[in-house]
Amino acid sequence: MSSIFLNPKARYSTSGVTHISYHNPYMVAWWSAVFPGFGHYILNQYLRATLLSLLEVIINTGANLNEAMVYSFCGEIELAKATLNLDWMLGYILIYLVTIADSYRGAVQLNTLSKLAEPTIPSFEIFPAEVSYLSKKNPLISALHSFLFPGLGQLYNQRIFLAFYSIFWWWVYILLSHAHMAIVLLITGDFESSLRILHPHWLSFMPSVLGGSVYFAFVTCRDHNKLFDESQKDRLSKRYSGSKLRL
Amino acid sequence: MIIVGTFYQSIDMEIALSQIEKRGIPAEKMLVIFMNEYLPVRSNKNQLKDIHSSSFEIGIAFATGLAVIGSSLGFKFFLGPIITGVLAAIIGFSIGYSIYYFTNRKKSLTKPIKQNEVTIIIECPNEQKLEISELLWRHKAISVGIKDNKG
Repeated sequence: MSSIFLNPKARYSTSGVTHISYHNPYMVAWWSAVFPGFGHYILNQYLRATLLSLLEVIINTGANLNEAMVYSFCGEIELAKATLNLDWMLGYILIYLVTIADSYRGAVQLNTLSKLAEPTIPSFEIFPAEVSYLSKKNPLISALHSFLFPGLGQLYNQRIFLAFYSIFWWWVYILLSHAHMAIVLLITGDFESSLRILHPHWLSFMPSVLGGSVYFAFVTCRDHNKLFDESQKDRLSKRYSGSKLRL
Repeated sequence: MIIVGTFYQSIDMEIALSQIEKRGIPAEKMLVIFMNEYLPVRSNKNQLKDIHSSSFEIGIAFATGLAVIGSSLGFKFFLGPIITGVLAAIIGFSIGYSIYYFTNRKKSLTKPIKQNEVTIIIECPNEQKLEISELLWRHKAISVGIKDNKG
């Protein structure tokens, strides 16, 4: 409870709550492998995570990596070889692997630092353009929001910039891959055209983004609940520490 | 006069405390005790987490991996990328969830913590008894107890 090290574990800003907590470094590395940048989101390093995820879309598109991946999984090795743009390939591999290693290292270091941090955070804070606060939320509801449309879970968790960043990109994927159109065609029974309109490059981003968004919404919500309990305990224990009540 | 209230940790509980103070009961006449105190946990890895929550995490991680492979394969498979991707995600989730759940079931707590509880003890004058206990109930107390000074 009482520590001489007054490092807060969390703080409010216009974009919500930013905090550090324990994360399994392998899990962080796994999400970086799924989509470069996602591991850094879990560590709450939003700026570098956003830049890395932007970089991933650009380099992946340049290298035609998603198409090559689809062809490889389908056993069309010659087609995969022909699709891959060699100008972009080596750089992609280097940045991809170093991103994974960087997020792993970040997780290990933040796990150590989080031992020095105390949950000293008020119940809410008011900014010129936003009101940020902690409240009890349901992690499964948060995950469900992101499952319906990535970004909505982040909105539920009040990470507003990430929420709209995700919503924007999900729309880009929907429009360029025609995924929603394909779903509607599937439901109405037009199987042939639903298959024809799908674009492999943009569709291949979608499972990883959807999974990452669901996972991140769930974990953030659970961390926020924990932060709520810890900070309330810290606050009230200080307020009522001078109790003269004798039973 | 002693009044005891138990709560789940929430903003309501904090509002109840501030309302009681506004009614003239000083902070030093109150005790706030946070329940579910466990012995210090040695490592962060073993922190008390609900096993279903951790299993869900692993499930989503597996589902995402398999969904990527599934939707790619779907371009060749007769069901198409969307249906194959969704099926792969469901299978992946079940595998991940089961692996974590069945390997860690025995290590987890027998009784998972749903919500942390707080006990509030207030010493107040006899005439405020009803007012204070009603206030506790109105702010979602789980239970309220009153001890008269007479007995």
